Amino acid sequence: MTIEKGSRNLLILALVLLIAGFASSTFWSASHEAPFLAILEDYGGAIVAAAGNDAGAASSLTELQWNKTGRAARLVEAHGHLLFLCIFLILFAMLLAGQPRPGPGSLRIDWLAVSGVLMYPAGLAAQASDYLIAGQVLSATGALLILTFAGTVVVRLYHRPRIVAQSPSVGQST
Amino acid sequence: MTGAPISDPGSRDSFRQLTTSARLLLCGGLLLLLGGLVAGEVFALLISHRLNADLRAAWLGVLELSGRREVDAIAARFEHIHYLATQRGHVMSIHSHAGPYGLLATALALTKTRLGALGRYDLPAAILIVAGGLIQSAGFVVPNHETIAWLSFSNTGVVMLLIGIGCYVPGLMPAAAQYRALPGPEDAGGMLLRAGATLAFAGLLFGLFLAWRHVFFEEPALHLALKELMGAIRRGDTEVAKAIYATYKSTQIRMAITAASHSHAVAFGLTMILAALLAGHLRLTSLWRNTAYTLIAAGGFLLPVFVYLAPRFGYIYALCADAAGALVILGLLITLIGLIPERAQQ
Repeated sequence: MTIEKGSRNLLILALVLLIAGFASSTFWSASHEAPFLAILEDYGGAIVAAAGNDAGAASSLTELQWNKTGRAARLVEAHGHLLFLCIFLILFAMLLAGQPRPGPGSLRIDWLAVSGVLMYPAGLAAQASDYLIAGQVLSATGALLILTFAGTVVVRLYHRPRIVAQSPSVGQST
Repeated sequence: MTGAPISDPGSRDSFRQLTTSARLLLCGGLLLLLGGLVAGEVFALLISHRLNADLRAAWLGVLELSGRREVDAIAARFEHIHYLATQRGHVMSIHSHAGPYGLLATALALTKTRLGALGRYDLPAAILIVAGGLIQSAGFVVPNHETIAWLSFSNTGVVMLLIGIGCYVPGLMPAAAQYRALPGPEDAGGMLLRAGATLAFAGLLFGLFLAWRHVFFEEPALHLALKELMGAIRRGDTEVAKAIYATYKSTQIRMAITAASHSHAVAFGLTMILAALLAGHLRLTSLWRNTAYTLIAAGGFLLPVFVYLAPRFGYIYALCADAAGALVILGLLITLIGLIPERAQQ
């Protein structure tokens, strides 16, 4: 394989994910922001109902606002994590540029990174869509993949510094 | 600083050799990053304590009113709470958006220093990314979150960012992309590179631990506290309701601040990697460059630790965290000055 191709693929995927994340966040904020801003009103409604000794309404409004708060928090987390993880991917792609990857047939750490960056926010979004357990499993798996990738790069930076110094110079063709 | 000879011979023309779009992304990105950090400092030092105290007082007022069954007054008080919460959200949003957009612009600039111009829309794409980040972040200054003007302004910024980033994808496609060497371990950036990667990794690891604690312990505890709060209000037991509210709110605040220590560790780790990769483009003497890098590294490592300690051991740690943030800002300012062309510095 050409070593530059791997890093370029990481960059492209990071940018595509970034665009997809931004587009979905913009759509979400345009179409769902007002209902989520009403979370506080549900809080108010629950307290008013409780003060009026309406146990049923207070309980249902409390559950309603709790679920809305949870969904909103997970979606905001998905948006924020996607943005940061894409920047993380771009930077680590540059750190890996010119670095030898394992050969064909072995596990490529690039795939760990891309899968993790894809799975973690997707898991959070799934949790926001009431697929709680599946979303948690997806997020946890994504987090472990990202950590494995980042850990591998960090270990490489500390223990194999000469490889970093021997990366291709300007203008060297791949 | 401008009076002293600040450039190393090896980096004299490095910045000038960059394309206009790369320079725009570098300087615009660093300015956005600095703007985000300054907004964070302003929020932490001047706004958060006052707004949080106002919010706490408003909530306690609601609980008092609920004890007296004054239903209409409760509804009116909630409008005030909504207003205060929105104000707090605006300033936080400037901080949380401008910083990552700055990181993104700088990261894209660095890809260009290694890949050259990316396609025919190189300069327009850079303009769209920097201006889009600026417009979206500035959109949060508009006072009312729900106005059409805010939505249009803010979404215009996002659309500009989307188009700008989209222009980069085709430019990365050609198979003949050429990469420049990364700073080796002997370069000034080598240590910062390794330190930044370590900090980002530690921040991610801590985030995984926080997510586990959040889902399995803190969220169920908050849910239970909320139910107990409603029960106390229904019984008209104002004092118990206030006590439960105090526990509920302090748990929420501790969770939010602890999450901030995770996000700042990752963000500062990435900032350190970016600063290290900029080493070859800085027109600074070794002394100034090492000073800038030391400030960024010291602030980057200390801030998440102090942020984590602040809700547990008091305000002195919050002040230390603010001081650590100021170190990063100072380091980035020196880095930014190092990017100014020689003629402009004289």
